[in-house]
Order: sequence, then C-alpha cells, then structure tokens
Amino acid sequence: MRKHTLLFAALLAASIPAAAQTGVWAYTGGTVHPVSGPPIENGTVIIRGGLIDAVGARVAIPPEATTVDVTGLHVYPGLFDAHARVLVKEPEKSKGPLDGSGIAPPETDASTRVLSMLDWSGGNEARESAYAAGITTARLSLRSRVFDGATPVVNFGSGPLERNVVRDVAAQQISFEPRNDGAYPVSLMGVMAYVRQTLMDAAWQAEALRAYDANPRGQNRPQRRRDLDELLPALQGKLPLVLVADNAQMIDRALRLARENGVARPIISGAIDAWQVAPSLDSRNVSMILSTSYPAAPAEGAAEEPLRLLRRRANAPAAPAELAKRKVRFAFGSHGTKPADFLGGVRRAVRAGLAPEAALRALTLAPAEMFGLDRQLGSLERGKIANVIVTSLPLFEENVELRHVVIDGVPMPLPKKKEEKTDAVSPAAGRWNVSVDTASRQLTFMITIEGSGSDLRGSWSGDAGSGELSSVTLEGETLSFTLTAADQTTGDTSDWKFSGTLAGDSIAGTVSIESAAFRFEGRRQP
Amino acid sequence: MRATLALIIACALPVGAAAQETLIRNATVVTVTNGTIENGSVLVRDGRIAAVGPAGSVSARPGARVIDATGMWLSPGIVDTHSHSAVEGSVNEWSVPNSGMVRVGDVLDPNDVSVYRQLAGGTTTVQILHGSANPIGGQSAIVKWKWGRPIEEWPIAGAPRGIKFALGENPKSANTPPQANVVRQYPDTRMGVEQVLEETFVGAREYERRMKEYERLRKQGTPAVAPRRDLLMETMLGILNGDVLVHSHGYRADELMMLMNLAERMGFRIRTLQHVLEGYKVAPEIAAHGAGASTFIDWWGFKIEAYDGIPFNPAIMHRAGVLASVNSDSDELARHLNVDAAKAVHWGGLNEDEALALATINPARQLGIADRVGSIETGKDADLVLWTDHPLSTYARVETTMIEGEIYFDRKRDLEQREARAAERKRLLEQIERMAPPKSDKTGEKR
Repeated sequence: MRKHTLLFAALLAASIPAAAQTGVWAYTGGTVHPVSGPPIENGTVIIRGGLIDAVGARVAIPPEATTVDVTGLHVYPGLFDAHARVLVKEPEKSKGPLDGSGIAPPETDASTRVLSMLDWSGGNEARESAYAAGITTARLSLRSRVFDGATPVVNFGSGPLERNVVRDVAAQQISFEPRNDGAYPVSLMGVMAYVRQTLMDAAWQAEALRAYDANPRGQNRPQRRRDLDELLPALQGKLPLVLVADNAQMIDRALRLARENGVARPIISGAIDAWQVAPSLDSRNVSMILSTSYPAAPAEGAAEEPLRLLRRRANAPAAPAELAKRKVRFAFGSHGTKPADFLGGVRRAVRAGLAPEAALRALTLAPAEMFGLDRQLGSLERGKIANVIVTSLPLFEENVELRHVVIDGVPMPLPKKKEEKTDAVSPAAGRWNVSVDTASRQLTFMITIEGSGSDLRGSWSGDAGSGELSSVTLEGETLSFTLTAADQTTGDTSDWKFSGTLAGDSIAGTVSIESAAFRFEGRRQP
Repeated sequence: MRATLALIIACALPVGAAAQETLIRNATVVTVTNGTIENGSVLVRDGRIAAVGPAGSVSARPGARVIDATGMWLSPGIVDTHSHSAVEGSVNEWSVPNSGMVRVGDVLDPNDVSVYRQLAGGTTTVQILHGSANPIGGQSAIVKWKWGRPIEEWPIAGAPRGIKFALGENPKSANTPPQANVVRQYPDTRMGVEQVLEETFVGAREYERRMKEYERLRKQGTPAVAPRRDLLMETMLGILNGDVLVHSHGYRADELMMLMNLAERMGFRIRTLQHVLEGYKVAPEIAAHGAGASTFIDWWGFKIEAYDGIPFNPAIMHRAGVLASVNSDSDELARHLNVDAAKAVHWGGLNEDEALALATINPARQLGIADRVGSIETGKDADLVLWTDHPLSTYARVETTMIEGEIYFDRKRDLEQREARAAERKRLLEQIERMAPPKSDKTGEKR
C-alpha cells in the first residue's frame, strides 16, 4: 500500500509539478524533528499548497490529503547547504581590474548575480544528486573571482528556476584567491590591498553621491560604479557578507579587513582552522559556514607530515563541537565536494563531539537565520516552505537512508540506488604515486583516477599544488592525462601532459611541458 | 568582569621570562657599540636590558633567573634588512608597475619553519620585503621572529614604514620569458623603470593638491565632494614626506645614481640601497646622498648586472662613510649572517666590532629601529644571543636566542622537545584513527 502511494506520488511529481504544489499531503506515524522544538513521537506533518500546514502529535488529517505512512521513520526539515558550487556555469574571468598598463578599469565582479549564471535546465542531474542527499536548499556560489558577487539561495525542486528561488541576493561574497592570468591581483597581499581599497571605495562612493546630491550645482558629478552600489548593503549590515577563508591566518585577516571597514557581522566560510581560532572569536559578531571537506592524510610521507598539519587534520572535525560550546553560530557547506558526501562530513563532526541536535540545527535553521530566511524555512513549522526529508534512521546514524524528499510541497522522485559494479572499474583507476624527474629536481604527485570505460576523470595533488585532471584517457595500455600547475612565485600556469604505459600497478612514460619533456614513473597505492 | 577574565588568562599562561629578572653572567659580552666585556653580566628586566657591565658591577634581585654563561659569548640579536620569510603567497604583486598599496604585513605566516631555523642562527629582527618584480613593490613589515607567539605580536610597533623599490633586470622582466595568456608587464627597459618612478611622484603631488583643495573648501564651508582616498597615492605621498622609507633593490652603479638623483629631484632620500653590488664604485656619492647600503659579501655573478660584485664592497663603502650592512635575501643565508659579517674582516680588514656591526647595529640604523635593537646597551630590548664561540668564528654555534627577555630558541630545550613532539604525533595519529569514518562510510573526506 505504502509503495503504491509512493509510486503515485513520484509519478505525480514528475508529470504535473504545478498541480502537485497545490496538493495536500499527510506524513503520518514518524518521529518528527521540527528543529524549532523537541522531537514529536508518532507525529504528523501536513503539507498544503507548497507550505507546511500543520505539525504535531494530534493533528487531524484532512480528508483531501494523500496520506504517506512513515511509521518508524524520521521526519526533518530539508537540509540547507550554505556554500554549494553546483549548477553554476563558471564564466570567463573578467579582465583584471588593472592590466599591464597600470590603468584601472572601472569595475570589480561584485555586480555579478550568480543567479543569472545557473545552468538550471541542464542541471537536472546535479539537482537530483543534491536532493537525493537530503539537501533541498543551498546558497550557490562561483569559484573565486575575489569579489564573487551576489549569491542566491535556491531550492532544488522541480519546475523552472524562477519557482525555486528562495532569495536572489542572499549575500555578497569575497574570497581571497589571487588571479592567475597576470592581472591584478596575482598575490595574496595584492588581494588584501584590492579588497581593502574596494571596500573603502564603496563607502566613499555612497558619501560622495550624498554630498553631490545635497549640492549638485557647481560640482562635477561623481562617476558611479555599479559594483560598489552592490557592495554597499553588505558594508552597512543590510546584507550578509561572506568571506571565504580556510586557514587560521586567513580567517584573522578576513575578520580584520571586515572590522577595518565597519562590517558588523561577517560570515566566514570554509574555516578549516575554526578549531584554532575559536577561542579568539567574538561569538556575537561572527558566524561560520564550516566546510565538510576535512583535510586528508598526505598521499605519502605521513611520517614526515608536519606536526602543524597533523594537528589540523586531527582537530578540524572537532571544530563544530568547539564552536557550539562557545556559542558561535555556524552552518555547514559542501564547498565544491559531492552532495553525497555532505551529510557524511557532518556525521564526522558528530563523531568528534558535536551534539546531534546542534548538528541538525546547523543544517537547517542556523543557515536560514544566517541569511535572514528563517521566517520562510529551516524548521517544520506551520506556514514555512514545505521542504521535508524522511529518513530510515536518525539523521546521524551511520546507515541512514533517505526515504522521501519533499521540496516546495512536491514529493521528489528518488533515484534508484546504483548497483556498484566492481568489474566495470577502469584498470587505470586508483591512487597513483607519480614522480617526475625534471632537470633541476624531482617532483612528486598523487594522481587519483576514477571511472570506468571511456568515462575517466581524476584529480591531482603534489609539490606544485592540486586540482582536477583533464583529458583523462586510456587507450589500450596507454594512459594519458593533463594537469595544470601554477608556478608558486609568479602564479604562471602551464599544462603538464602525461602519457605513459600501464603495467599492472606501475606506469612509466613522459610528461611534456610546453616544449620540454621529462620522464615520469608511478606506482598504484594499495 | 573583563578585568577578571584577563587575570584568569594571564594566570593560565606560563610565567614569561619577560615578567621577571634574568641575569646572564660570566659571558664574554660583545656589545658591538661599546666594545667587548670579558667576564661580563647582562641584567634583563621586563624584556629590556637593565644593566650591562663586568661581573660584580651588575646584580639581580633575589629570585631572579640566572643563566651561567661561562665560556660563552653574548651578542645582540642579528638584524636582517632583507628577508622574504614568513610570507603567505607570492612575495611579488608583479601585475602592476607600482604595487605600493600592498602590504607584506597583511600576509605574514607565523608557521614558516624557516623562522625557527633563523632563530637557531641568532637572527631576531628582520625587514620582510616585497619582491623585486616591479619598480615599486609593496610595503615591508619590520618584525621580530617571535616564533610561537600570535602573529600580531611580531611587528615592531612604531618602526618606520618601509617600501620596496627595484631597478634593473628584475623589474624589466629581463630574466623571465614571456608566458602564454599572461599580460607582459611594463616597463621593459631601465628607461621605463625611471619613467614609472618619476610619473608616480608627479601623480602623488597632484593627488596631494586635490586633497588640500578639498580641505580648503571644507574649512571655509563650501559644499564639496571629497576626492576618493587612494591608498596607493597616500603611500607615495608618504615617501615624499619621509614617512615611508625606500629600500631599493639595485646592482649597477649607473642606476643607483639614477635613483639617488631622482629622489633628490623629488625632494626625498633613499633610505637603503639593497644588494648594491657596485656600491664600491660610487661609495662617496652614496655617502653624500645619505643612503645606507645593504649588500652580500660574496654572492655575485648570478646575472649580468651582478657580475661586478666584489667581497671588499662592504668594507670600501664603510670606509667611505656609508652606513653598510650585510643581508640575507634567503632563508638559508639568514641562518648564518654572522659568518658573512666575519668575511669583512678577511676582505677589507674591518675590526671585529665594525664587522659585527654589519649584521647588528648598522642594519638596525638603516631600518630606523636602533633605539631598540642592534647592540647590547642599557634600555634596549633584550634581544640576545648566546654563542659557544666568538660570533665571528665559523665554530660559533648558537646555544640560546632571546627576544625581549624571552627564550625563543634553546639548543637543549630543542633536543628535549623532540621526545614530546614524537609523543604528540603518536597521540594525534591515534585520535585521527579513533575518529575516522567506519570503513562503510567513505564520505566527508577531501579526495
């Protein structure tokens, strides 16, 4: 019977979403976790017309409702990923604010609206994998452009983008990544100076326009920069400002810049070293979006891993518990990792001491509050957007499975679990420890290759940085892939094209860098 | 309430040596500025040198910590005017010909282990400079190597601001091949370098004029729109007004002259010439201009403009009345600048104090911080180094390095800590193992 209802719901959702949004649903018999209050055993959640209509233990089920029996299951608000990088079409980087001539073109990227850069219709799969991981809502961001522009909060529901927007401008965002195309700023200290001057400019422009408007006669009108207009609300505390910073020093620097420029309540995102800075944080005025992508063990040489990095690796998952203890507001962000890994990351924080209630809050109501959306979503309360998930076990149990997802009142079809076919894994798949002998020194890389057949992809890390691989192919025994490495002093990038012959767990071949070629050798790691 | 909290925090910290008295006795005290005291004592109180003198003339309060330095030499901490250590990210904002708005102080990295190694070589104070990729680089940070302390405690409060200039091959990208997809930077010639400098200061005066005009209107109550504050131009004005000291990279005599002449034309002075390998050719002119010269003793030939370096350079410049020093420009060399100073005894015949001054009081004067560091004198910061031999000896090894009375390197302590570090490593690995996701749960780790 239950299966039947479910199938019907799925069909309905897929075919006539508009009608579904006006439907009435009753989820009965489960343990309801409203977040705004204590759990309700054997509770009922009524959804009507896209909103939550009633939540409680003794709720009358309207006759027109489609009942979904979730006895023995757990009902939560949909999860909120406060820093996601899915669905966005990364734009070409704009020309730098200064080029070789030393002349400043007018604008930064602060006027970018990330919402206008979403590939919504082409992003079905990305949306599906997000909500299939329980994530119904996310704040979407681009890769770093220093001034990353206005970031929106959207639901991952069906139907057109317009219907899924929760807020088009939820926050302005600044990240501190130098550019790599030779335009200012190419260094971290340049980024700091650039951000400092721009924030000052935004405050100055507002003041200059005010002074001009008060007395336009006899004065030249100031030139108006749209990007500064867009930044201003974030400086005035009318719009959240997210500062992306991972390490302890960067968090300090970001907070210092915010303070210098009168940003009252900055949000730090990334914050791998939150455990380190926690004691010095002003809990009233800082909140954090913690990355669930924790530092991993080095690919090799674990015995020589600096103590400092070891401390970081040991303590990063304990940061959320530490922040909770110190009453610092925090949420979680996937920061470009797979949605399927999001909840697992939070689970690690729970294992490291974070109370499950605090973890749940950080996944729901906390981010909603952070972006001023808590009147709309974040908890199971009457009148809020009906984003609901139902799980087989309490959310932070290890083998928890997602049974239902409702977004904007629409039950979403859950993808079938993919069978893991081990025989289809490519012979090139695995972690490869690769060393390159250049004329001057030996460089080592850890290359990870995944996939099957002709669908290969991978990532790399090593002396020259880290990143994704491109053009990964296996033809016969010949494995080829390309990585883009940056020179640490100049920031110049170059493509390293690897091509080698696979023989069991070893590989050897050549790597060409522009006109030069060097030998490389690699071993597959167990 | 706040006071109570501060008290609790203060009590929780280990009692720093800075808060108490320390007496270092029976050392051969090499003061640099006031000769060498056999069997001397130095009293440290509240992080400063409270007294210096022969044994018997200096005594401490009861309960003071006493360091018996019998058989050892005590010198002031080494001062290095040219460091690029402890910088996060690139040391060059090379995208623009003038990056004077950037500040090295914004990106200090307290985790650079080179800092600790330099302490083990007696270096305590450095100027961290922007690189030399463009004619006007960023603002420098003058810091003490307070390894293990929060980074905001490192900069010397009140030290004059500095900025990096660069002449010759580096700013004209002579030795960097063009890169695909990367804009080639102006300038391309030595003429262009001079043009950038000249135009900058003309621009700075124009900026000053606009600001003053606005001030005038504002004072007389005329409505006016304030001009935009430009951090780059403010820094350039700072140079013209003498608030920001110029430390300029350069090798060739002709362009050193160009720079000094240009500065004089613009009404300011170059504080130090950095590298200055051909300084010996124009030493009287450098002395007349009033610039310091901070050089290498025997490092040359690494590019065309560095072919004419000679090891007599520091001594010749010193004898001509130039305030001369040796610097490192290198994490490695910064660990033994005492040896580079010693070479000036061999090449050029400086006496021991003159030679040691090249790595202590002279660089301190060049940076404008000689009231605090660079010699062992009453009232100065207790930045002290205990050596097993005369600091100009190649056999000298650092036993203890102290900054403001606190020990930042101690050879014995280092050896003892190795065990504790190994134990911590073991404990952390166990902790990681304990918290690792179960084998069934592979999520939540960066891949």
